[in-house]
Amino acid sequence: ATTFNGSIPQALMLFNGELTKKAISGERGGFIDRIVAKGSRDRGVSELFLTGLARRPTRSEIRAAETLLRYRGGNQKEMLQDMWWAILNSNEFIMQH
Amino acid sequence: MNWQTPAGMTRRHFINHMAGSAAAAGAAMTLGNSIYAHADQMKRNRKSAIMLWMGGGPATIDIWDLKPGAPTGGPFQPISTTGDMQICEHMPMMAQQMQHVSIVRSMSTREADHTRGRYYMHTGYVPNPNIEHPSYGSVIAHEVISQRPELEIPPFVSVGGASAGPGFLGMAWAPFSVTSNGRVRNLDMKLDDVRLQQRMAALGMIENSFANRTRDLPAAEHAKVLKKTFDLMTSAQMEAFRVEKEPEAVKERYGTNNFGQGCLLARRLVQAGVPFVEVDLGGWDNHSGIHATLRDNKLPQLDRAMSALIEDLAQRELLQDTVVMWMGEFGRTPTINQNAGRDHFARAWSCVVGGGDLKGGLAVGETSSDGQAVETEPFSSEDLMTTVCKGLGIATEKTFTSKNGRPMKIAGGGKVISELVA
Repeated sequence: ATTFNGSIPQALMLFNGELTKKAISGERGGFIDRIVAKGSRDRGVSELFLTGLARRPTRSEIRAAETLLRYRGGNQKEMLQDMWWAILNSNEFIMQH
Repeated sequence: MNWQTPAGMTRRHFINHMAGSAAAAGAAMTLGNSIYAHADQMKRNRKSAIMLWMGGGPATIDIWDLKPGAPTGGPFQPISTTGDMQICEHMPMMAQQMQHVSIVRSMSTREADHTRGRYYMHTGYVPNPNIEHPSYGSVIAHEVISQRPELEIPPFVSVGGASAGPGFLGMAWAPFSVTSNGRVRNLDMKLDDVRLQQRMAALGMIENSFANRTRDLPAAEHAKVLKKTFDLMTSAQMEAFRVEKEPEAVKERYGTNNFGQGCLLARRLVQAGVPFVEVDLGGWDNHSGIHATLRDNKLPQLDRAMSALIEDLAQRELLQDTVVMWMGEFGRTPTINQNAGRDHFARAWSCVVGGGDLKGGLAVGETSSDGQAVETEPFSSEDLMTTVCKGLGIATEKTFTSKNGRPMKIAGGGKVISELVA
């Protein structure tokens, strides 16, 4: 694991920068879009966690995804974008790479 | 296309793009107990510092300590000022502000290389492969921040340059860089606040879960940076960066160029309570054709912006709480070279400092009639830093203690320039 030596500008880059925008984009043929197309029973949440963190989501993480889905008015793609954004910005993701 | 990773990148590639380079090379420091000389005073400390950084090493012999008539004097003539000294004729606006600031003409340092000089003038220490020293900005921000719990924007801002890093104080004290028009890169998520909050909540949950599982200190530090970042994105104090909102007349008084607008931004940030702002102006490394460059380009810009800043701070009654410093890496040779320029020279040169609790209008120290040597007590970067800290009401007896038990003084053990303090 690497130590996190980040600063606000680096956090801003991870939050709002081009690479993140591209990674979470819902464009056709993109990562998120293809998960939606697969139509899995847990709405693709497991796939996000397996891909990003090499593990399955915990129960509270699954519940959080369901809550997010409600907030997004049932829009699965938007929920996945929000969850993927959170995973990519998490200490767990950063520490593992 | 690799299914396992975002957009076809490997995860490491992705994160290497974003994580940037680790900063501190030296041992992590733990803070020893601090001893404040005047605890009550510190509680009320609303002081700030603005550093005007002249990248390249300006020829102070042509600006603040002229030698008219000497073979090394160059073509410029001195003019009277509202202070006790004369300065260059091409700084007429600053001549009206010199009662507010003083010139230290007896700077004598040893680093005549840009990188080393820059490091030394920013930290008070010479470069050392074993340790990364914190810059003045990081130290000052670190020292006063506990008195400003309401500050939601970064305490150390660098305008138009990168300044110097926080070294062993850690990334929380790194300078926050903006361009002179106050634009912060990647500030906007372009989502409504509600959705941003919801993303933060999901992120917080994943973070907590990981922190609980691993009890990882860096993970806890990460959470702090995330909170500061979120606060920054949503804080009303970010208005301070909106320099474009100033009236046209004010913008013109400072000068409609990067440095002028940068100085105006510095005033706004200081008003908002930011403890340390550095504003950069480069282009001073004049190895050839120096006098035309100074006369036609550098000095008019400097004169307008610096005088506007000091005048503005004085009129708003902010100057007694704001130390202003002007310096570069070093000065330039009294001898003019065959390209009509001056080269690097650290043995005798000038800095300018004033505001806060420091006295203005004085010329401290003297150089020889040709400018080649300091004839009075020489002063160093750490002396200047100690004096600036005194002007800010910061105790410099404080030390940080490294993990191996080695104490390091915050101002590098410099002495106060006594003429500048009451």
